Amino acid sequence: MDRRTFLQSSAAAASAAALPAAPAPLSEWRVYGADDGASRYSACDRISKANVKTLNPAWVHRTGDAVVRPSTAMECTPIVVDGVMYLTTAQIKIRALDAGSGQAKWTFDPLAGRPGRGSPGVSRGVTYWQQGKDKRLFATWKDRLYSLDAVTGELDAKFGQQGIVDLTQDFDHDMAGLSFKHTSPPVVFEDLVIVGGGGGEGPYPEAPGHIRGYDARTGKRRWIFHTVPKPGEYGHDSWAGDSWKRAGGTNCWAGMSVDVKRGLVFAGIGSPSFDFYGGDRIGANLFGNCVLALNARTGERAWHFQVVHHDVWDYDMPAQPALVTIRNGGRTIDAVVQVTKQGFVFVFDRATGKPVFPVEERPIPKSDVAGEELWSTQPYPVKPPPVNRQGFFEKDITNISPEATKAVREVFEKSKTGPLYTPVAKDGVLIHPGFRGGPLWGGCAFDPKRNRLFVGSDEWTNRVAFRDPKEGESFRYGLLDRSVVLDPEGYPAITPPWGYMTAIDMDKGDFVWRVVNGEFAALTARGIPKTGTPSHGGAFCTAGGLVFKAGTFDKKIRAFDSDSGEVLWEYELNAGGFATPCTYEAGAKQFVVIAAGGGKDGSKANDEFVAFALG
Amino acid sequence: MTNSSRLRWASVILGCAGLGVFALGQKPAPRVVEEIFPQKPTVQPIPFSHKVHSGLGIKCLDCHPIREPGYQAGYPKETTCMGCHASIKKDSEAIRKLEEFARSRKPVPWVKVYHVPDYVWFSHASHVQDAKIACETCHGAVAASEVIAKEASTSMHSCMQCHAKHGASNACDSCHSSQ
Repeated sequence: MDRRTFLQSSAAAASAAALPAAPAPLSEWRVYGADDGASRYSACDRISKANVKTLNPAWVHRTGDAVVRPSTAMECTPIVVDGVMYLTTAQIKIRALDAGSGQAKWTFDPLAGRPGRGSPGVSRGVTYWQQGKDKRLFATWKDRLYSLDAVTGELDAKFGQQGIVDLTQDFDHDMAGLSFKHTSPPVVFEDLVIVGGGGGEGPYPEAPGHIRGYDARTGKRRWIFHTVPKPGEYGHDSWAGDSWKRAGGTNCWAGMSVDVKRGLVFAGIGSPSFDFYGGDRIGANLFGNCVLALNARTGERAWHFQVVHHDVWDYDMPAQPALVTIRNGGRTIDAVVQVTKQGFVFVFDRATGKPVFPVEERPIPKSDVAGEELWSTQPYPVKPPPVNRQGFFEKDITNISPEATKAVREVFEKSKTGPLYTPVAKDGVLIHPGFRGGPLWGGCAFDPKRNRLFVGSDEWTNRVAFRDPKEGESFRYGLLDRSVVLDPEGYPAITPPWGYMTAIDMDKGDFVWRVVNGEFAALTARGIPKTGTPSHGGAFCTAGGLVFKAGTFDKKIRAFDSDSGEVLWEYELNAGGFATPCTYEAGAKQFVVIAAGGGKDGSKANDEFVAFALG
Repeated sequence: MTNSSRLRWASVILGCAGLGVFALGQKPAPRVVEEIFPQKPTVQPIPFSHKVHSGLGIKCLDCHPIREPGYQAGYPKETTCMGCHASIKKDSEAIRKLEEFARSRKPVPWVKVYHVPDYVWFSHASHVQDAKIACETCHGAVAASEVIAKEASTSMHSCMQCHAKHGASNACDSCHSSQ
């Protein structure tokens, strides 16, 4: 028995009788974010800088349910527990595979009997929970929370109503006519399964995003935290008048993380609705756009930090808060890192919520939209530097061709422009980074040995303009425009580059390296320096000194050198790998798996989970 | 749809959070599209009168069955058409053209009149089979038309108005795979 096998089997034996808080085996990927804290770090080191060039597909699992028109997309990061991989397919079937071979073991279809009816929605994966011999899988699809037997894939009849909890119930909100969705995997702590999700952020009535803890065995609600506080609750006075009654959004859609030792659950909260106009919700609007720490056992607030006050730019907290232990200024700090769409990296002391690097409240301009009252300042972390440009100025107009420059200049000249947090204007404003980020739901990865954070980020620009309401519409403003601003060929409006990978030293808060990520071959062929491409999904890093990331529009998955950023290996998939990959060991092999589902930004949908291994 | 309601619709093409609206490397869609109804009739590869065929008692779903899993309504197989046209108007130029498609087992390249973007999960099954929405609601008076022209908007606003009227959800993820 070699060291890895010993560790794997020892840990597996230990976990059989332990609570889920037991340390995960080094060789598996038991949680969506790699571990409870979503560090996206793996101790697997069989694949190293020295041998990564020999990575090749070992198996491909085709889910068989991709739809090309309309397009499905796969954002799932599989989890791997005791040699079994659990994933969600293109149409959100939940499936178990043999992690070594990719052979299917069972499939559960939450849409069974209702095919072809509307969007299957999005799922980024599932959650494993074990107590003794009781092995459960928790998954969400739209407004349903499912509990499945992890061995058989059958619904757990003792949980909720025959294995299902209706998330529109027990929500402390009148949900008549409102919808609810939950796209990221829930988290578990002790005997609780904790869910976020909620309504959208449009101008129409929307559900809020209260966070709830459910008994993992019965599905009974044990606690709820109101992300839009009720009368008498902390933060209620941050909503003027009765705006709290109508407020929606304010949801945790990108997933949570758990500090098992402290018994805290961390959530990044999205914008309140309507996410571009706040004249009918004057105030700071807690807990919108907050990093929120809750007592995982009770749901009580431990601390919060509002990253955007009174958001009107759709700057949700777009990723799981990452719980990492950093070395900073001679101290070891249990920290929580929140990457934001704006390109900021906020770092807090996990226990207190105090920023590790100073954060300054800086003034922003006033809005000239009727009724709007912006908060006068917004928080800016002094360090690390933003991982992308912020704001849109004349110098930023794309220069890849005269035609591109001319077209974007026309949009620029009819829009309000300026630095980050330029107020939305009724006749149009350019928002950069746009509301696809910057970083998005792929979040970040942290290498504890190198004390280094890896962040992928994009350069999308959005334009927002309002319209007056039409007959039957009750809101003050609707959207005339919320487009991604592109040149006539469909490339981003801003000068390249358009996609990066960045490594940040968490001691000093400085960039260690930053590389352009991805390539448009057509532009390279025209002699334009490598532009990078926007991407979907995040990265993970390993003890082998590598950072793996896919998601670029050139359909490639890449391995970067953790120390230098050099691309040591790349492979072109059959479709965009618009998900965060994972890694694990099975049968003495280390695998890297990515969902190559395409289907975004006009690309063709696909149905492959591709596993790579050495040799 | 009445003549008086055949007015100008200003529709707005919008994206939703997390949706990819444009393909990189493709010409982006215009932000605002002015639609005037009825639009210019579409020229089809083979002239076809819905009025004549409807008059024979043929129903919409007879020729446009909802295909599994339910998103699309299909076109009739050329061999199905030839079931009648092997004897009816068999010498006309149009039917000879149809016969050639049937013989070579190639589909007639009918030109679509109504489009929804790829990021819209429109389900014919939900609308026709579940909600019992008449085909004419979205496609106009097809049964009375010699040639088909787009008569009704397929903009997001028009969809949402109809959803509101029928009490159907207007949540983003009803029709889009949003985040």
